Amino acid sequence: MPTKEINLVPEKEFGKLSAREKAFDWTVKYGRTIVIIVQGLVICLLFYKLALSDQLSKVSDNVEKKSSIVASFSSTEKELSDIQKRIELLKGVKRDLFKPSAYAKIIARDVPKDISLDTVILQPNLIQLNAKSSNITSFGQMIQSMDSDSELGRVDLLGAHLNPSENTFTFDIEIETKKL
Amino acid sequence: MISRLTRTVSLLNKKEKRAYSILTMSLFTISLLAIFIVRPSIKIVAQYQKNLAQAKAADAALTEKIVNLDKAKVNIEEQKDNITKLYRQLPKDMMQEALLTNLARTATAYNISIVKMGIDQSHEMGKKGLNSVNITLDVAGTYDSITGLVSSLENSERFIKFTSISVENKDGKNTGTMNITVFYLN
Repeated sequence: MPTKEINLVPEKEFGKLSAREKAFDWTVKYGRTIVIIVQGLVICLLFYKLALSDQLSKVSDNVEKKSSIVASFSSTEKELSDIQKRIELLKGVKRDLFKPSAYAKIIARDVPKDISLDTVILQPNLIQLNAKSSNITSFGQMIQSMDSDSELGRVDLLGAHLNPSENTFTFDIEIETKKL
Repeated sequence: MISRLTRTVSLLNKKEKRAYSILTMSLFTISLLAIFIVRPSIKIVAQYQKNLAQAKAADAALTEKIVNLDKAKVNIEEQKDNITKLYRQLPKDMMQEALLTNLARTATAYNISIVKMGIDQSHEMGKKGLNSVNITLDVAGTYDSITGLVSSLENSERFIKFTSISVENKDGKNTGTMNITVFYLN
């Protein structure tokens, strides 16, 4: 059977209470609950903060230890950055590298033996030849083999003349090369 | 505004007035406590969380760096020979004496005489400390020996970049002019 609270002091109506009494009444009934809940919340936050602080100090210790390990690698780091710098610079200067020996191989391959070369100028993507031969058909062969050479581009005959005293033909040829 | 509020309050009955008064006081208190007590605590906790996240990120980055540096150390040890070659290809100084000795030795090996040598002043290339020196070599020898010298210089320890080459045959004598560039770090 439910018990009924006995209250001998007659309850005043809330509306009739003075402002101070109203505040007191509210504080006793609701305010304390609110304050306790807020305090609980703040205490929870405090404990959470303590946990975070503990974790932070552990992680900071780790960071400090690892920083000192990294510092001990400073010579390796310096050497590595130096190597990387050199590789990068060498890559830069080796880009579009002109290899004259490859050009010389082309000349040796495409120029017939009875043609003598008076002047050979090798430049990036360009070969200039001043050649001499007593046999004009050899020049035809040379130009034909250069035209069909996959490593060469355009072959331009700049000039040709006969030397009656030597009975030889002289040719000026300019050859564009593809990337070797 | 105030008169409308007073009018509205006067329309309420006693129970409603009580309920609204309690509700108003409670909301006011909750707001006050939230602003002055809960908010600073949350702010502090948020700051700690942020610091912890940063510290964890730094920790992870350092761990990765240590692992990578460890690997790098091993790799450097393994690639010692190649690294030595790299240092020879692109030395720290001009090393003029070693370069000239190498040129002279290679020329001698191919029976070539160096007639003239012109060394241009060094030029700074870009901002990375790379310097270049242009060298002009006038040589005399057979066509094959000149091309042999070129091939040998192309594969020399010190990186040599050819700019142009010309070989001339006059009365059975071959003379050649080579324009080359060597590099060094400053």
